[in-house]
Amino acid sequence: MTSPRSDAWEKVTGRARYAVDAVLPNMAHAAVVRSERAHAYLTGIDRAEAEAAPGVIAVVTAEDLGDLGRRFGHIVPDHAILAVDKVRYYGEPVAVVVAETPHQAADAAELVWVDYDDLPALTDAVTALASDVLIHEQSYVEPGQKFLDVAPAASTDNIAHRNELAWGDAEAALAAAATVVETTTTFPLVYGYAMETYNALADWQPGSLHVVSTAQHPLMVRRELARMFSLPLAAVRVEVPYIGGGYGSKSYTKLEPLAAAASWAAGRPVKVTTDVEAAMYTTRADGALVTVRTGFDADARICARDIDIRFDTGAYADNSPLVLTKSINRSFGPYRIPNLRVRGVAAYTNTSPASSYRGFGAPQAALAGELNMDMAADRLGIDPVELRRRNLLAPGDTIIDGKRPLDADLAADLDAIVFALDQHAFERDAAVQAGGDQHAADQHDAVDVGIRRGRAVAVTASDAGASPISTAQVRMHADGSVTLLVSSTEMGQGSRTALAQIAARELCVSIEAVAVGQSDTRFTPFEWTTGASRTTTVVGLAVQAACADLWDNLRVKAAESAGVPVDDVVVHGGRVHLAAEVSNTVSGLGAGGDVVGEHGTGLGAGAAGALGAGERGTGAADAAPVVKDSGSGLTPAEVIRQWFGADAGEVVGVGVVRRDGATAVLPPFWEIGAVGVEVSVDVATGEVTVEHLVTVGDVGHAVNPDLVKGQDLGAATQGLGIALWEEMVYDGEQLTNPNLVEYRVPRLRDTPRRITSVLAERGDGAGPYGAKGAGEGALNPVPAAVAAAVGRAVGVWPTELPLTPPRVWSLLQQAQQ
Amino acid sequence: MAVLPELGLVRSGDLDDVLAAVDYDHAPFAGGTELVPAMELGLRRPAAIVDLKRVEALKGIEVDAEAGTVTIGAAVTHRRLSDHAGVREHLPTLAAAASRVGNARVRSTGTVGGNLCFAEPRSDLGCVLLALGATAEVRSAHGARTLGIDELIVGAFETSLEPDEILATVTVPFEPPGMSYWKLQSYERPTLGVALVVTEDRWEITVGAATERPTRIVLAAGDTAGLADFVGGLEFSDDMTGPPDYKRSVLRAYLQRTLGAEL
Ligand SMILES: Cc1cc2nc3c(=O)[nH]c(=O)nc-3n(C[C@H](O)[C@H](O)[C@H](O)COP(=O)(O)OP(=O)(O)OC[C@H]3O[C@@H](n4cnc5c(N)ncnc54)[C@H](O)[C@@H]3O)c2cc1C
Repeated sequence: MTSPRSDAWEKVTGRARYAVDAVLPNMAHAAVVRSERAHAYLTGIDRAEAEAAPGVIAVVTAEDLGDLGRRFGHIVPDHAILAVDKVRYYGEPVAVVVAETPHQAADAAELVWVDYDDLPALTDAVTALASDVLIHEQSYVEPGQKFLDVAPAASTDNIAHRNELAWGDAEAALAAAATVVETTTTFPLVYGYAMETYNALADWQPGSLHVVSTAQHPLMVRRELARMFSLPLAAVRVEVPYIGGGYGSKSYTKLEPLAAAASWAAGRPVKVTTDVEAAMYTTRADGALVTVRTGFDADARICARDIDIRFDTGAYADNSPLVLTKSINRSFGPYRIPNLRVRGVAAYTNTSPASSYRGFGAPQAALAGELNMDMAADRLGIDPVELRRRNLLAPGDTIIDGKRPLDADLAADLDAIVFALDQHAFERDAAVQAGGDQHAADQHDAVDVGIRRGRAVAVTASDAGASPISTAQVRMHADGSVTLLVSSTEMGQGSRTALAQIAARELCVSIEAVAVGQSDTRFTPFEWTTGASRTTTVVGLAVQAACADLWDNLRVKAAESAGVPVDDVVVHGGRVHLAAEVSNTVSGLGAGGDVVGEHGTGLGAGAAGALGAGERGTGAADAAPVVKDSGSGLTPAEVIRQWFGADAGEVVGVGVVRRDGATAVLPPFWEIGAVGVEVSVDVATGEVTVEHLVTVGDVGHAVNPDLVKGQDLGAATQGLGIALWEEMVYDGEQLTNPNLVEYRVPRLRDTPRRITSVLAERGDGAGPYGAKGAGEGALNPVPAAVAAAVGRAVGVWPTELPLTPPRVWSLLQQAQQ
Repeated sequence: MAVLPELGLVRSGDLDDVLAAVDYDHAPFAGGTELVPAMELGLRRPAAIVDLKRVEALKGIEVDAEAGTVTIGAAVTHRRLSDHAGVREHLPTLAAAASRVGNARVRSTGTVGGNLCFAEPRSDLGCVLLALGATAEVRSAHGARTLGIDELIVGAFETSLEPDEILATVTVPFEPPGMSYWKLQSYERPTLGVALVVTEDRWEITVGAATERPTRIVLAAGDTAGLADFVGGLEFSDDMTGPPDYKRSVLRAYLQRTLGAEL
């Protein structure tokens, strides 16, 4: 059910508090001195002048950090807080100036003089992998060190990570194939532009550290800070209010160590902020050079795929080893592939460090993988949709051995896309026949000498949901209203609304009666991450479990108040009933026992699952008779007030998700990306217009359909940005477009002329009410689909994104030759 | 975080005060859409900025029916220009171009004077005003002089203004029949702009945005050889909006189609 966003009022009135708004008493401000070289030894930092400048409290360099862990990185601890001995990219923090005001800090930062001894700058992966010059001259990895199933290489070459996935014998199968089609693509360096750029406020005091920041994963940041300052987890408090956009770019640790180190050195709370330029120097997405070779038999069935992925990971590993591992899993597509080999390398380069970005390796790999399917269809003389249909996996099929079987119906998703694309084409043709193609005429003021059209579909499946580790707490107050505590971060996706909806449904209260606050590691319970499209599914399950626990606790309280055994108390219709009121005669309810749902699906699987059914157990599941909704019994508020003997008190429920039950098999779900696009290309200017975008949100169940559609449209639009516009351009050592005028993100006028957003709700997910995640899926196939559609329009397959007008124009020139 | 350095502000409604204040260290400041980013980047470091926005003498739009001209104050914003009834009537192409400058924020705050005096090549107004034969009145505490647009804008980011001079007004003859302006704008700023005045016997062509400064040529109608020479001889910039070959090709395709000339 679509429910308006609970934060809409705060946000549109400008009252919502974001991380950047945070202040602490006595707060000082930092300005970061950044490297003006891509690769150089630091031979001296002269800070005397800056230290003497007005308002300056401290000028901090790596040298001052003493016993503090000077490096961070949750997989490879290679990332210097402030450059140690050498700089590895243009824009890397070298020193931080702390002053009373932002102006004083900025002015003084210009008085820090840094001397460099230049090294060759390796600004792309191919160069870095071929070079003898080492970006990291030592390994930071302890033997046996692991993050999830990623064991980083203890390498001192320019390789941040290397991984492989294989089954069968791809080489032999390719040799025997009837047709082999090869595709190589370059995925650009892109930046996850968010309206709120990175910022962190840190207050170090002996024995404790308090941070307010834009962290997507506050608990991951807490862990790294605790390690860095040798503090117990409980002594580190990370607060995350609203975040103005994340897109994965704010996952894991970013500016927090810098702010914390500055606070430690200055003895004051210190705020570090970034502008767009500094944000681009903080994190970007991995660039990728990917080659896919696919072998087909005489019936156009895939017999093998051999894939080579080369990431441009930038100066520090950050989360890229995990992104690479996922990219490998997501590279070959949801097809039946008897023989597979995927090899991946993440190369260090002297550019901004890369890390997570919406899609997490899928868009990079799918660009080559799905474009390859289109090229193959062309070569085999088969319709590209038919080629995919012939090779798609069916629901329940294995994608990767040992992982969750496919929990989606991709053929049905494809049908929905084709239906929408056809309908648009039909309507357009009808309009043209009825009196001129007004739209094509409007398209350009003058140059409409030639318009070419192309359309394409693309599908992806991502092992999403991350680790199923989540805890939720629901506190029901004496009036029956509820406070939901989770550490999920709200960065615009609407998770507070969706989670409140789940709690409201489980507890039979209105959504207005549920308050969801910000994450704050001091008060809100553990959460693995907010990423991998996991929140509604995984945190939703934790919320459901917490609600079930709350009902159990209410039953216990009601039993104590009434002086009856707890087994004599049952829950139905949002009320707590004594068994005396109960009849045994209601039929049609499953063995799951008590049913609480009053709203929504009522007696369906969702409501039974809400109590954790037999698993979590009310203790009475089998024995307890089931009640008729007699309208009698007590409201939860009455139970609470009765038990406390006052109009006061509260009852708490705790829910936990771990690798067990619905989430025993990983991934928690496969996130589907399924899109279709129709584009037109202006032959004179090379401009691409997206005429029609079709997205299918294959989410199992949409807890809030508007939010799902918002995610799909947002993700697809971000994909269009990569396909058509976005690229960090390095000219030598330096980024040439570190601003939004030249780093062009999609604008309102770039939105497709027509958008069809389909929701596929087949209840096939492991989450609440059969839900699966959304958020990344609709981005993943978009760059590939646009590349294929443009390829069809111009007659030459693109090999490189973004497809800017000059690039498309040069494809058109090639087509003419 | 880009923060502006400490700055002085000179603010007066009186043109003479403003003229007395402006010099190398005291920069004229109108909408700030160019000046502020330039200061944030440290490219401009004036000690003070001199606000032009309160000077009535720089904010007028006057239609002189007798002379057949419209005089536009330098501090007029793109939005006011495009909304003004007299401009829309007598200079419809200029009004339309102004209505399509950049984005809504730039149009609401950016000014005609700021556009011309910053002399960013990727501009529409310079091209259209040059095509219209506009003249610029430049003033300082010591006097005034009148320049053609091509005398005002002498290169990329380069004008002939002295540090103590400001652009006061631009006087534009009413638009001739047969005028049009087309631009390709894939990015925030235009890639290429072409102003045409086509009559039975003349082709007046002004090309902007893709060259260091707007360039104008007048040809006899049908002089395709002259046209080809002109297009072939233009020195296009090489930047993010595209390489020179691309810009030449787009220009050629546009002219070919609009003038019906085989190039
Ligand atoms: C994102 C973006 C998109 C844009 N897109 C377009 C576009 O599509 N087409 C287009 O034509 N332009 C475009 N522009 C340029 C825009 O038109 C100018 O930024 C604007 O008109 C400048 O006016 P301003 O009043 O803000 O100038 P300011 O920033 O105030 O001043 C600019 C410079 O001119 C000087 N100056 C200002 N007024 C005077 C004066 N009267 N006399 C002497 N010197 C003066 C200042 O000292 C400063 O050096 C774009 C700009 C941006 C930022």
